[in-house]
Amino acid sequence: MNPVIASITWRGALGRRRAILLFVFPALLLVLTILLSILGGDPRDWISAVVSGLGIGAMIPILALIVGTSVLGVEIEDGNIVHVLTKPVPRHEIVITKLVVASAVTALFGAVPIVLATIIAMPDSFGTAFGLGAAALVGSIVYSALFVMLSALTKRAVPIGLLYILIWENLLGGLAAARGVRALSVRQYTTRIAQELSDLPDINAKVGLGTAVVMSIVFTVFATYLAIRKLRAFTIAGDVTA
Amino acid sequence: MSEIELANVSRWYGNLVAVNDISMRIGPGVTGLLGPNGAGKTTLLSMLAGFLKPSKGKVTVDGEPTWSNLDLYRKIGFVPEREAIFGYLTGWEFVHASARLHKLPNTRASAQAAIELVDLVEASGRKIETYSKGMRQRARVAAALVHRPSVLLLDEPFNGMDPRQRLHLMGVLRRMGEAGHTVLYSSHILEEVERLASVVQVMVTGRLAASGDFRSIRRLMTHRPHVFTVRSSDDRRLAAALVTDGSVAGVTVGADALTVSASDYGAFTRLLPQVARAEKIRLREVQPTDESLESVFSYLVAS
Repeated sequence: MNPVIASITWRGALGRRRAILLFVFPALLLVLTILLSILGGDPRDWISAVVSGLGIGAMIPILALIVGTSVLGVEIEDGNIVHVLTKPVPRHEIVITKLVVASAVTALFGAVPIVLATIIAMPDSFGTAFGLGAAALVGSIVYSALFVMLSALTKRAVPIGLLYILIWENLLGGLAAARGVRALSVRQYTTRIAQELSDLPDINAKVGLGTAVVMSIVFTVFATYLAIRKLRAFTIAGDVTA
Repeated sequence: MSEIELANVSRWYGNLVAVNDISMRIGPGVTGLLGPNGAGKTTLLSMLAGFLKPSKGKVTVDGEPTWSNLDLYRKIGFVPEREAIFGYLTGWEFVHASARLHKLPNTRASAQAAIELVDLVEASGRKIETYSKGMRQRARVAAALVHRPSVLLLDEPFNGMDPRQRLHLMGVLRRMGEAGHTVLYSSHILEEVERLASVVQVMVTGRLAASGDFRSIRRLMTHRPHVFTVRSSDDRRLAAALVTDGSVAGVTVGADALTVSASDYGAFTRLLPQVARAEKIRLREVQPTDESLESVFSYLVAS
């Protein structure tokens, strides 16, 4: 972890125009929770759909995509990364720092609102709220690792990330026969951990806890390794006249 | 004091050869890497800065290979051609961050000295996104030399600078060269190299076309044949009159114009109107051809 890179990355992640989106999703989640709370009824009937379905299932991956692809990918694309790479800083330190910042920003705008929304809906359920927050934190880390890696490997990280979230996780992952797809779905890991750490009845993951924990670690480590490898071989090519 | 060495270095991208078997040694002082766009200058500088692996040959600084050599950044400063910079930081924050990334003993003093060196003190508290192109370039230079590198590499550093800023940066680089730093910068503009570099390496289409003292290279450039297209009221008579003069190397009579090859540019341009007047021939068009920088460089390759 490098504090200088962390500070630059943090300011970059929150300073770009797309950072506005970071405020939109948690605001929607909190407004929806407040509205549903005002309308009355048992919060246990709808809170799972809001915090797990919308929060953990949609908001966390989208936030991680926005932040994860900006902390490294945007700097590679616009050339700013060279200012960091021309310093005697090990490449793994750069990638890990950027991953920590991306996870922290995602968790700040994703996991914290999930905890708040749960407490607003069920003021007595601190345990459930923090359990869901912990699951969202895990999701923030794994998704961030995935999207930081994608942004290091390709310029099309955002569309590929969106395809992963929308097609792989939500469309194919919902099919009954798609066991293999679910085994490679961060959403399933996070939902399984949320199921374990909360007492909400309607959170049903389709992978086991062991798979969720092990695959979360494997995803994070492997994605980080690939990003480091890519950064070690970073090149600047010139224009060449044939 | 540091020395850069390239030994039979080539770099190709697929079938395209960007740098072709270049060998050179660059020592302390200011060296200009001159060549037209697409000559391979950026590729060469990228290899020197450790951002490109040579396909063949060795690139070293003080005997150490540059590729994937993190420690080398303690003695190298690199300003790439792309103008990217963290616009949301102030100039001071940007240069100070560079000093901190280098883990310098006194980061504040080093950053301040670098900012003073590039004359950016007044603007250093402002965000870089408010800077002009030239100011951004100076901020990038300050960040590259904050650790007082013994080797400073700059890719087209004067691009986008106004004449005053250009002169100032030239002064900075000249002083660094005089202080024993090895400064290598690329340019496709002859005057930028002429005014600053004592030693010049000329690259054309990936090859080292000429190398050494600028004045001897300039002489080669001045004394190369110059080709003119001339249209007149009587091309044949004009050709006969011109060919007798020593400044004319050859004349070809075409269907509607003469092609004159002059060995001395100045003497020929003075001679032509005199001959035309004496022969009572009306000049309709005098057009120097092939005066592009690329053609000058190509001539150097052939000579």
